[in-house]
This record gives sequence, C-alpha cells and structure tokens, in this order.
Amino acid sequence: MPTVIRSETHPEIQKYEDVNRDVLSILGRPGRAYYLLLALCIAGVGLLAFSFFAQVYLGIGLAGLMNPVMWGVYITTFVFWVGIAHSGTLISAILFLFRARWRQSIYRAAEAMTVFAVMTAGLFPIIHLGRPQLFYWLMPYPNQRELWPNFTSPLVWDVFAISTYLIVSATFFALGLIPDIAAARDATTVPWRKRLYTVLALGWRGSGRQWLHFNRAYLYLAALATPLVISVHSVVSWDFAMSIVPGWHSTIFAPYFVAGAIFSGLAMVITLLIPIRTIFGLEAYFTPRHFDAMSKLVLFTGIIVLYAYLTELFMVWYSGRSYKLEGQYIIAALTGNYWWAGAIMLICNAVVPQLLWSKKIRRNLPALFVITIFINIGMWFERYVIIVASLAREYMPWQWNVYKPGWVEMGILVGSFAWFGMWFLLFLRLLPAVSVAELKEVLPAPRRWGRLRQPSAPRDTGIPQGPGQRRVEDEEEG
Amino acid sequence: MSHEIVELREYPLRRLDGMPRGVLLAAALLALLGLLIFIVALATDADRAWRAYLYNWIYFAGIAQGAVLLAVVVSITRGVWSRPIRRIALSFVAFLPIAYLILFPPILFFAEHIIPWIQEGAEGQEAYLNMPFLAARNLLSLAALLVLSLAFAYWQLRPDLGLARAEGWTGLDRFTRGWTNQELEEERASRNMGRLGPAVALVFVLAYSFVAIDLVMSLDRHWLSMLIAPYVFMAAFLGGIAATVVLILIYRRHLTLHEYVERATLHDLGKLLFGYCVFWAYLFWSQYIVIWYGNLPYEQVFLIRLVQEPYLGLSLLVLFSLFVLPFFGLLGARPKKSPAILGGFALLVLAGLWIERYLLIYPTLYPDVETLVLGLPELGVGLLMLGLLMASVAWFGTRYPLMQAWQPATEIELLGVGVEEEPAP
Repeated sequence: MPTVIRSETHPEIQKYEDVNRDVLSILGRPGRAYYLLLALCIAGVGLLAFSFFAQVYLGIGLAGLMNPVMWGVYITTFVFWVGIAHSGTLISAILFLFRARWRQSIYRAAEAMTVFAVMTAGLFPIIHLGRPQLFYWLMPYPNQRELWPNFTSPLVWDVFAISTYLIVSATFFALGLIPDIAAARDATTVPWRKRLYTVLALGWRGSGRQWLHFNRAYLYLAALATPLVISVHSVVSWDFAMSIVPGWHSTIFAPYFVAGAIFSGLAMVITLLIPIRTIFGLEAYFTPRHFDAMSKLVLFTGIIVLYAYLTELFMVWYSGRSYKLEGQYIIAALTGNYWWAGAIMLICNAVVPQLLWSKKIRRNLPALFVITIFINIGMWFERYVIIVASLAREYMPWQWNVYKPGWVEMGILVGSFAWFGMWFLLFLRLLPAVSVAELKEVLPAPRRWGRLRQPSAPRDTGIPQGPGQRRVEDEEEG
Repeated sequence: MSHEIVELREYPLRRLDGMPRGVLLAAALLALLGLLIFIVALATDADRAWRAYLYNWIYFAGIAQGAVLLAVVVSITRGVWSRPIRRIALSFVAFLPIAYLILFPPILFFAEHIIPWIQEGAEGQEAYLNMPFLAARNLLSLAALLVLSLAFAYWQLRPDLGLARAEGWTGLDRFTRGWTNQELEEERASRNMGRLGPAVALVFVLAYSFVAIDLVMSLDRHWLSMLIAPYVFMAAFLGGIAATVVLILIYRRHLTLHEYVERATLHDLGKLLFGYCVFWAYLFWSQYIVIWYGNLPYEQVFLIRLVQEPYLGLSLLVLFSLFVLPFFGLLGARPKKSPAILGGFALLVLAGLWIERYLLIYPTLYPDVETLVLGLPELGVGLLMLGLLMASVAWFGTRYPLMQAWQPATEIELLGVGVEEEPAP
C-alpha cells in the first residue's frame, strides 16, 4: 500500500512543481479587482502629491501645526510606518536565526512590506521640512559652507538608523529573491519580464557553488539585520526620550517602542496576508498554523506594550510629585483634550489583543483580520497620543494648546497608505510573493521509487536530506 | 539555510547515584562558613549585614528563577533543540522554596536595616511605600511564582517519573499517584505545561517587578526609572542562562552525557548566552543614555554614583564581564562549542552579575564613602546562599532524571518531515 507523506507546516502541498505553479501564477494575469485596487492606490498617491505640493506652494501653515505642537500627524505617521517596517526583518532574520519553522511562506511578503514601509516612512520627515528641497542637508558631506548636521541630535541618529535599515532590508530582500527570480525567469514567456528577471537573477543557475555562497550571504545578512530590528526603533524612540518634554523622557521607551513596532508590524502582515490568501488561492501556503504562530507573537509583544503602559501609569502615581516628567503623557492622554485618542489607544492595544489568548480566535481568519486592523488603528493613536498629547501640554500652562490636523495632513496620511499599497500591489505582480526555494525545504523531498524513509530511522548517507532526517552542523557566527 | 537540527531519539533516564560527597561537603562548608560570617557581621554592623543579605538574595534567587524560566520559555516556544538541557535548567527549581520561603521573609522583618524610607518616611509616596503593602505584595507574588514554578516542574517531570518507576527507581510514588498510562500522562502533562508556562512567565515579570521597584528603586525614593524592573529581571534571566550553562557542563562531564549534550547543543547555548549578554547591554544602554542625555538632577544621581569613585572600577568591571568580553569572546562559532571557553564565559557572566547586583544597591545606600563597602560580610552571605543553592540543586540531581526522556507530542510533530497517512481510496 503506497503512503503519502505530508509536510507538517504545509500538509496540502504535495510536490515541488505545485509550489512553482502556484506561486508563479500570481505573476500571471490578475483580475479586474486588482486593477481597481491599483487605480485606487494611484489616485491616493495623487492626493498625496497634491496635498504636498499645496503645502509647499502655500506654506506649511496649511498644516495644523502650531506652537507648541510642532510635531503632529506627520511625525505620528512617520513613527507608525517605521513600526510597520519591523516585522519583515523580524520574520526573515530573527525567526530565521531561531529556526522557526513557520516563516518560509510568509517572510517574502513581510520583507517586501518592510521595504515599502520604510520608503513610506522616509517621506514624512521630508514632508515635514520647511524647505523640503534641502533635505540632503541631513546627510553629512564635505561642503563649502562647512555646515554639518548636529551629530548630538537624536534626529540625526534617526537619519542614519533608518537609511541603514532601508539599505540592509532592501539588500536582504533582493538577495533572498535571487533563486525565485531565476525560477520566474525560466518560467516566463513575456519578453520584458524575461529581461527584468534576467537582470535581477544575477545569473543564477542553482549550482552547488552558488547555493553555498547564497546560504552564507543570507546567514550573515540575517545576523547583521537582527540588531537593526532592535536598534532602529530604539533610535526612533530616542527622538522623544532624549528630550525632557513631559511624557517623552522615559527610560523604557526604547524596548517599549521596539515591542510596539513588532506588534503593529506583525498585525499588518496578518491584515495583508488574509486577503492575499483568499484572492490568489494560497490557502495551502498560509495555513491557520501560520496565523496562529504570528498571533502568538502579536500577543507576546502586545503584553510588553501593556506592561509599558502600566509601568508609566504606576510611576506617575508612585512618584507622587507632578514635576517628575515620566509618564505624564498617559495622564494627559486620559484626562486632557485627547482623552478620546487615549481611549482608542488603550482599547485597541491593551484590551482587544487579549482575545488572542484563545486558540480558536487565533485560527479564525476573519476575526484575526478585524483584530489586527484594530491593533494598527490603536498603534497609530498610540503615537498620536505620545506626540500630540505630550506636546500640547509642554511645560508652562500658558503655552498649552489644542492641535487639530489640517486637510493637507489628512490627505497625506491617507495618501501614505495608498503609496504603500501601490508598491505592494506592484510587488505582488512583479516578484514571487512566496519564497519558492525556501518553501521546498519544508516539503518532503521528491521520490522516484519506493517508500520514503521514516523520519525516525535516518539512514546516514552523509548528504543532507532535508529537514527531519539529518542533523546538519550549522555554521552560524551570530 | 540548511541548518535544521532535528532528532527523534531516545534519552536515557539518568541521575546522580547519591549525593556526591565532594559537593555535599563543599556546600555544607560554604553554608556554615557563610552563616558564621553573617552572624559576626550582624553583631558588628547589622545594617551592612542585612544589605549584603538583600543583594545576595536578589542575585541567587534571580539566577535560580531565571534558570527555571529558561526551562519554561523553551517549553512555550517549543524549542526542540533544548531537549537535553531543559531538565537541568529546571533543576534550579529546588532552590526556589528555600529562596522564597526561608531566605526572603527575613528581608521584610529586618527591612528597617535596609530601606532608608522606613525610618525617614516616604512623604507623598506613602500610598505605595509602606511596609504592610510592601510585604503583602512581595510575599503574595513570590508565593504565587513559587507555586506555579513547582507545578510546572511537577508536570514536566511526571511522565518521566512513570518511566523511572518502571525501571525500578524508588521514592517516586508520591509523584506518580493516579498514574494512568504513558501516552495519556504525556498528553496531560504537555497540556498542563502549556497552561502553566505562560502563567509562570507573567507572574515572574510581576513578582520581579515588585522586587526591582521595592527593593532596588525605592532605596532612593526620589529616583525613578521606568526601565528598572525589566532591567533587573532580564539580568536575572541572563544569570539563569549562565548558571544553566555551568551546570550542564558539570553534568555533561560527570555523567558522561556527551552523546546527548552535543557540541551543537553547546553552540546553541552559547548563542543564547551571547544573545542575552547583548540584550543586557541594550537594556543597560537604553536606561543609561536617556538619563545621561536628559540630565535631570533627580535621575542623574544614580548614574553619577556609578561613575564616581569608589564605584567606577566596579562599574567598568561589570561592563566588561557582562558585555565587552563575552561579546568578542563568544562571537565565533568555535568558542561557543568549546566547553572550556563557554564555561569560562558563563562563570565570568555569573561573577559580573554578582557585582552588577551589588552596584544596584550599595551605591544608593553608601553614596559618600571613600573606600568600597565590599568585603567579608558581602562575600559571607554570598557563600551561605551559594552553599544552599549547590545543595538543593545537587539534591534534585540525586532524585530526578536529569534528561527529559519523554517529549511532548507537539514537539514530535515539529520534528518529522510529515505525517504519514493512507491515501484516500
């Protein structure tokens, strides 16, 4: 009696050929819904461009920014998108080093999301500049004016942190794509695609030597990218924590921001993957187990965020003195003009994620879809509360003020989602959205004859047979 | 990308044949000597003796609980690689009843020797800083942590105890009461561990946050740092990892477990130690840079003491032993796989952590001293607790199997390529 062996993470996928067929079919002709969505996104990008040029033409006074709230929706949205950018590298680098076995099918989309989210985030500091055409002054380069950025300013650290992150995550993304692009190159018949993939595949033939170098490079990049996941949002948090604005100056900000970033980033991955799974028929690739595992990470980071909220509330109460600066924002947020934003933040980030303790909910995709949208709304408002509620009550009461975003800010906020969505939609059509090569590592190896060997009785052939059969000494440095 | 470590293998039920005489003797000697020094210190300078007691308690209880937490975390995350080391990490659970039930209450009884605000009063902060509430919250949370840790250890052990009983081990009847059969027991155990694990982790965070805020931060009640609690308990976790590494290397040699605790396992442990050293540095830095940059007087005071004489030397020592040296020393793969180098760094981390805990407490309590307040009393209490820790951990080793022979079904699932099934007709 012949037996069928099934992958533990992807029981529905039987053969290697299935993976190529299913994944590369996404690159084929999309339906009308795709073009509709893309058109919508491009219209949104138009809104972004229009709002931005209106602001440049008529002056930044068009935005609702005023003393003392000089950082409003722009910086809120900037921090939001930097946060979104975190899950991709987490999944592709940290989970890779931890040998988590559920990352294979999801990491490509998450990585693409990372790159696009950083691209989106990078717009905002420039939009926020009074003279955006001079943005390159942020970079240190020898110049006749002998002008240098202020290296002791966390804002300049931010420039370095984020541009490094963009470079490393984009490299990581491009590197991981090579074998898959080669597969797409070999499968496609469309001339322009063939040319594009030929360039991007860098002459990949899948030889043993190439795989050797590829694996090494991947491992080293993963090890390099791992500290970046932590450092980038830490530096972003220090934009706030270094100053002594009440509500910003807090030692817990760095780990708390990192946890919050991973929290929102993973939520965004889930939000995006659920519709993709349905639209492209990838049910066998993104199984409920994947969502279960991601939800557990969302829950874990959500608990860290909750812990930080509680610590801030506690410390304000503990200190017993109003001049202590830490954690003021949370009080301001809960009692002041922005109580509604504080309430949204607490409900979406502290209450709703607790639903994920239930395994049933973790595997219920419609419920997850809704919960993760709530989380991302909550995380946007968290940054809004931190930035706006703190600044609005900066120092002396006579300068307190209430900030209301102007229409350009809302236009640009909406436009940023469209900008991100546009890139993501283009990515789905242009590049393999699921890693073909890595997915095969967790599938049973193809057999020509006979029964597959039992995993429990390995035959030591000296050749790695794929997971489950042989211990392969890893040569990791990190 | 081809470094999957996967195995379905048999692990032997192994334990120490009776308490090794050397360990027993050493533990007893250390504890007695420590007790003697402690009593002398009490008679000469009771304040200092109790302060030494507090900081050693935070150190030893922290590393024991940290090691137990390691066993819990690898179970929650289904870290398949950790199977040969879990039980050994868990064996530190034997010290927890001593730490929480016997060693902790004296800190509360003699708190006026330790905590300045008890005598000075905590004006404006009485709602939180008062002795009845402090005692209640610490005792309750530590008791809850103890119960949960013991329950977790019980369920982690139980399926193996059935196997051990079948092999003729005695003295386990109490633990195998109501035994059904191996399969059902394993299922039940992994279900219960799945529930208890996250609870242990959450209560650990809560209990050690209280310890950090009440027994470290409130020593200077005007000083505030939001990060102090995570910093204190994550350092305890780092200590737990280092202690586990040391104990594993001892058992590996003593019980010749080389076949099971392979070089690859040491490599993984080395990565863990390396990673958490870096993480410690991250937390340290996150707290340091914000306080330094903010330059607020009531925050700065904590750092200023650390970088002033006589504490500067020790601060640098901590930085080097917990971060700089392990970082460069354990960066490569080879040192992680070498028992001597890995063990050396684990001991270095343990030693550095002992001083780090000292620096959490002493500079606040002895801010304006010319010479270091570090000598026999501190060492003596340390020896006392080290003796107790050694004895209790070795006792665990004589009674219970040191390898986890059973494996939760959820992990076996992770190991195989797949599940074999009959095709539908």
